[in-house]
Amino acid sequence: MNDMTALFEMEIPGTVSAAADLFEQLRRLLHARLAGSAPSELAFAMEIVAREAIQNALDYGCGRDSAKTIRFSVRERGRSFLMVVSDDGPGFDTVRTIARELGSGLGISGNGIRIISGYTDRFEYVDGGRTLIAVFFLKGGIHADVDFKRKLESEI
Amino acid sequence: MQMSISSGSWSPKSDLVAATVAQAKPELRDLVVSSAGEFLVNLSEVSMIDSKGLGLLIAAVNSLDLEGRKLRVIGASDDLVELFKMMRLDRHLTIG
Repeated sequence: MNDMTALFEMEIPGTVSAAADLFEQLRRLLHARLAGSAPSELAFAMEIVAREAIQNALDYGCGRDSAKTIRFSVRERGRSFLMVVSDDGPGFDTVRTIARELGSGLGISGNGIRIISGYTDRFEYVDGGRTLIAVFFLKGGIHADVDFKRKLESEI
Repeated sequence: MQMSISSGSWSPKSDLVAATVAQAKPELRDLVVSSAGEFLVNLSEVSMIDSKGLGLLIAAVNSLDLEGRKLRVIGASDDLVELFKMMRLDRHLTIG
């Protein structure tokens, strides 16, 4: 049974202004949806991860090309949230990039993956780095669901 | 008469994110260069800092460090304080 509810779906061109509009709409939605039912830090976590993922898609996936598209969605399932960000770019060496960023010290750049890692309960790049899947749990949520990853993949 | 350079401060009026960092960078740099002693960053009007914004603050910390100066953040929300701790930036600047 598909019990995943779409909270937010948006397709934008690869431009800074379109991304700014998305961030504004997302912030409003997260604060409205999560107010009173989730820790306030969850809205912050979801927004900052969205910003990092979409900025990466803008810079590297789309190369700031307005003809290219970024797809973004947030879905809710029980007490968990699934965020998916994808682009049509060339992708990247996910293993090497993640290892480099998580293994290096604090620097002026290269902190995006560390933020994504720190603010998600799970994250994974698929499709050669063109798609990020990020999962956020509410406390007492779906942690016990051992088949969760497989179920998420079947939803995408 | 010797000119005195006061300790500097900066109060950004918007979030420190990719879309705003390019504009904020020269403003912050000028304030750092034209001041002495501890440098204050007032984040009371900032609700979000992304990796580009963190990079801006780290660059300021590095510049100040070369002169033996420190950066102090005031007015940061709980979410931003947690971000600094998670990124271990709290080891390089003073919070509060």
